[in-house]
Amino acid sequence: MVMKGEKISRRKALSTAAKVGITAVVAGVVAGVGGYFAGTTAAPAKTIEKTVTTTSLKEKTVTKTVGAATVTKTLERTKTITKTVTAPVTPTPTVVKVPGATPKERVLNGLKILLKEGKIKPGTVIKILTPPGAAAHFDKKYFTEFLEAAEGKVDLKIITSPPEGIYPKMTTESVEKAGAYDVVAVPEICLTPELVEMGVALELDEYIAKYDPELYTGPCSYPEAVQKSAGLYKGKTYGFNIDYDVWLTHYRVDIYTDPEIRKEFEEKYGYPLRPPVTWKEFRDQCEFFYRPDEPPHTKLNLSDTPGFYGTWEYKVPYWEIYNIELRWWTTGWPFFDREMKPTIEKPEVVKAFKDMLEAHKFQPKESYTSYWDVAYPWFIDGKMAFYISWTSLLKSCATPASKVKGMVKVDFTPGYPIWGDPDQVGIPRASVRTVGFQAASHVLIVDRYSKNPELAYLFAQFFVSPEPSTRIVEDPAGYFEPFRMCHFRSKVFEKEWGPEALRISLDNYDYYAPQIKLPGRPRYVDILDKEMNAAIHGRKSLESALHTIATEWEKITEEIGRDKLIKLWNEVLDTCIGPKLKPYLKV
Amino acid sequence: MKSIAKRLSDFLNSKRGIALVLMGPAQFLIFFIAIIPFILEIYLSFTPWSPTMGSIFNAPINWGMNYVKLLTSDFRYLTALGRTALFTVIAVSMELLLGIGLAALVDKEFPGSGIVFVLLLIPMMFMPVVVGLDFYMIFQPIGPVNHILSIISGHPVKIDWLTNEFTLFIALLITDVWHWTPFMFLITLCGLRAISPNIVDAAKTLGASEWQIFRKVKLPMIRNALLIAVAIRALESTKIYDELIMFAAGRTNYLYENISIWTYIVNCVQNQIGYASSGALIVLLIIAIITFKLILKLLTR
Repeated sequence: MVMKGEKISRRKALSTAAKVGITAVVAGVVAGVGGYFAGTTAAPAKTIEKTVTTTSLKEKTVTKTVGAATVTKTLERTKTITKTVTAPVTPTPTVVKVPGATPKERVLNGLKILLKEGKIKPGTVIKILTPPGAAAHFDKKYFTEFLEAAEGKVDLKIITSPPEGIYPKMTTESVEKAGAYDVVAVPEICLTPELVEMGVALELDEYIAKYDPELYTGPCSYPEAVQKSAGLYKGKTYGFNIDYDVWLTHYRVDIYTDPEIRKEFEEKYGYPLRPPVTWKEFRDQCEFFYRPDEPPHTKLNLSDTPGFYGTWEYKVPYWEIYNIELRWWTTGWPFFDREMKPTIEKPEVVKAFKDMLEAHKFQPKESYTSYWDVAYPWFIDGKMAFYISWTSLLKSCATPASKVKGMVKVDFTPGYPIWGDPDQVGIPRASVRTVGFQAASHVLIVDRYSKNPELAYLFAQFFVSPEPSTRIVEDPAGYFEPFRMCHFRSKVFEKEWGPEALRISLDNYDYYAPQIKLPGRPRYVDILDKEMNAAIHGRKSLESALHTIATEWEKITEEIGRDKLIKLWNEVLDTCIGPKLKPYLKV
Repeated sequence: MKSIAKRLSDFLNSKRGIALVLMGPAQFLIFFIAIIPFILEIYLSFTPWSPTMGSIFNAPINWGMNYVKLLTSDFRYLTALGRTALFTVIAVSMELLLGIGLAALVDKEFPGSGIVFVLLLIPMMFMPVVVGLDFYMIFQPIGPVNHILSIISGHPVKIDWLTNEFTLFIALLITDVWHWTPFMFLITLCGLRAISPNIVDAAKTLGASEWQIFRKVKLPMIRNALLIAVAIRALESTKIYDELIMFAAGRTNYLYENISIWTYIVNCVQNQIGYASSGALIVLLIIAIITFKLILKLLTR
């Protein structure tokens, strides 16, 4: 291009550029919006146009007498009416059950059918999004049968993301609809409603009917409340629970059986020492064992550094929520009543949080800035008497480096007495409102935009099938804990946890209590977290924080829609509570 | 009648054609990577959209109610804005003063000045997240800061730096000043070394003291460079995020919720993307006005 001696003034160049830009913006917006609508406009309800031809026959018998003869003649008239009827199509549930004696067999047979139908193309990759800590559970070694049944046409690809990164990734997926993943291990089972509302979780009921993963039947069923808590939303199933994560009290047997310590405790508090059963006992033991100057290598402090403590409750954002929610459930009040009114200002709940702040006075300073990343090593090092935690702690206690190896037992977490004075001590466990609180856990969902949804589902079912899942959860490199009944019969766990811990863990399911499982959960939890953090750290009075939470929760409820939430919360209360806790709730 | 090829050729050889060919592709690219998201953000800021509502066009337009709420009744947001402004002003001022001071010291050649120069620059080479983690450990109750303070005072110091808003602010300030003073130092030093020695010699000949030369001659000459450095640092300081996340053990820092943390919470935790867009656009507007004024000042000098 030759400019032929012409010069372009800067103004003109900019003006041309601006015009190009504006044209592009307008064209882009039009194209973008048009394209968007082209891609997302809801397809009209499927209808069938049917031409119905009605043929009406009219017969008329005419009898005529012609002379002596009588003639009978039948006349036939035909009238044909053609009508075009538009009728909505109701999908007929024509689920053909795939044969197989076990969920795993049905998966493998399902793969054969998909292969036969040409639905699995060579080079198909199942993309698994998981937190890094759980990646070991998706190792190919556990899926050799699955991959072999797919005749080498399928491969697995693990994509890891920090737990807090999974939700934003799913948000992106809900907007992009790219099918970036096939199955996702979501590290908060109570996010299922959000994921469904966002449209990224695939409804699994049709596949469940076809392949029967034996969720609630068979010798290795799921604890019903837990699976429903993880996967059920608006009466439909969207995921499988793949992690126990129900809290238990872990305690040092050597301390609780030591006669001198027991005597000292009883003299001071007037009742015998035992792993805390009520919150009053919890508080007293926090105080009794609060010994920041305890030298190293004593009967209590087995570590190499000074300091010994009763326990450690979380006080940092996000993790503190679990301790708060556990205490809340033990009052008998769920987070909302059946009309979706927050119960946080009920006298019992206020007392529970006052008790919590009181107990915090006797906990290590480090607990204000760190969480289990420090608390786990401390317990394993012998710097704490007891610790409410996930049962993965038992795995850690059994490691060779542990100073408490063989010295740790578990019990249910503390609660408030069902009747009478909330500050009772020494009462039987049966008189206490026990809660098996599930802190976090994982749910395996199928990405609704997966390019191979059925294959992805089969992978998910293979993962949770009794036999493969037992081997998967036994993997010490991953942090998933037993989640189906037969896992609790695993020899590996029996050796690692001991039969008593396994029994208590299993019994703990009967007292199961979920977290806030509602659409808008992140908003509810954010306010709760922020305000309670301010109260815990003394930046705000407890009453003021609780009032703010109640007010803000009401606003969120109104914004999302109270009627909708009432229905959903009642579904949670009716289906996701352990059978032994349910009678003792105040709703 | 001219052929289409001839017409096209004429157009491409014209002023408009040249401009179109040269600038068109870049404009087109910018349009897709910047303009469309920006337009969408403006659109979203007028809606209460969250991904749970489905398509962004499903969200009702609320005609600026997000903005009204943010600026009149959302004290969480207003507090975050205030915190951000306060931090930016104090941190950037400290970095500027220290940067100028260090540059004035290193401006003169002395044995080992090269090593000192490199050492002074090292902090700004670190990623913010690494700096955040380092200072998170340094400011632990049993960390080195308390240890040093204990030695100096002769009494055990057990300050919980990261659990109190004021001490966390101080810790954050120290972290940011340590991290970014080298940037100010570098810009100032470059400016100082670009000054012609003749001007300094002339001032000396006229009897000016070192301090007078620095204040009356050198500083005015590097003023523009300093203004640009301040503008860049001010923009960066409003975005401080990694350090705050690390100070809260990798979690949301409710203790010191600045505008970055607020945006993260509302956008990524609460998923209120429409509302977060409004909040972010207000910040953009404030920054644009301040930066524009600063640039105007530079251009009109």
